[in-house]
Amino acid sequence: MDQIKNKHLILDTNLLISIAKNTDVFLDFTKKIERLNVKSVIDQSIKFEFLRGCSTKTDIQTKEKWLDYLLGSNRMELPVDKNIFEKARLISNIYCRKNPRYLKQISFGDCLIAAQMLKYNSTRDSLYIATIDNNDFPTFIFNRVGIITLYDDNNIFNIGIYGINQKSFADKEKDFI
Amino acid sequence: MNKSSKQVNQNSKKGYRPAYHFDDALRALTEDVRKIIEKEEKEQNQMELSYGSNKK
Repeated sequence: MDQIKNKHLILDTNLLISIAKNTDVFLDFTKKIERLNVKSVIDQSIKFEFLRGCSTKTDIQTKEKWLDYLLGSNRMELPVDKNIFEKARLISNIYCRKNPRYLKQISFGDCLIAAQMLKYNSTRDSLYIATIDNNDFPTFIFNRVGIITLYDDNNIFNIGIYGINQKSFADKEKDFI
Repeated sequence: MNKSSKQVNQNSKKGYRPAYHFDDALRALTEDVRKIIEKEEKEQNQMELSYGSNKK
């Protein structure tokens, strides 16, 4: 886990929802990343997924305020531009070449996040993602740098922390150049 | 008051908020968000049930 000390960390949508629904269970996790001085980041696709289910203006405002408080004042917001879209499509092609079942399993948003990680880790590892949907970040493209297991009487959560594997991506990208 | 808590107080005067820090304000907001998410999930489940029964 020391690998993410002072680095940037994206919390996946499923993790944000789980933190809101099972706060007491996830306090161990939030305290851990606070101690590691992990810098908060949000991607526009995660913000979209988190807010898309709201049906009133008040609900949107409440959720936005919660994100604002949880992620703090110094959070980084990653914009989605044309290059990110094109890289996300390429990542989806690589997944599909590996196994067509990934097309159903891994969402468009997950591909956008992978594209952001390629962009921001191009010179050095600085951006990681934490998720409880561990199958969405396959280890033929991502490095799993840690797993944190949390549980209560009713649930067990495995939070995976992933970085992008630039070399593995570059090898697989050659198939499409 | 130690140096770090002074820093936090000065920061909060400027509107600064640390990330992942579950103080009373964030806890209260979390409870509101939890209710919203549960409402959304309930609506989603009802819609899926309704869709399922219409298909039969």
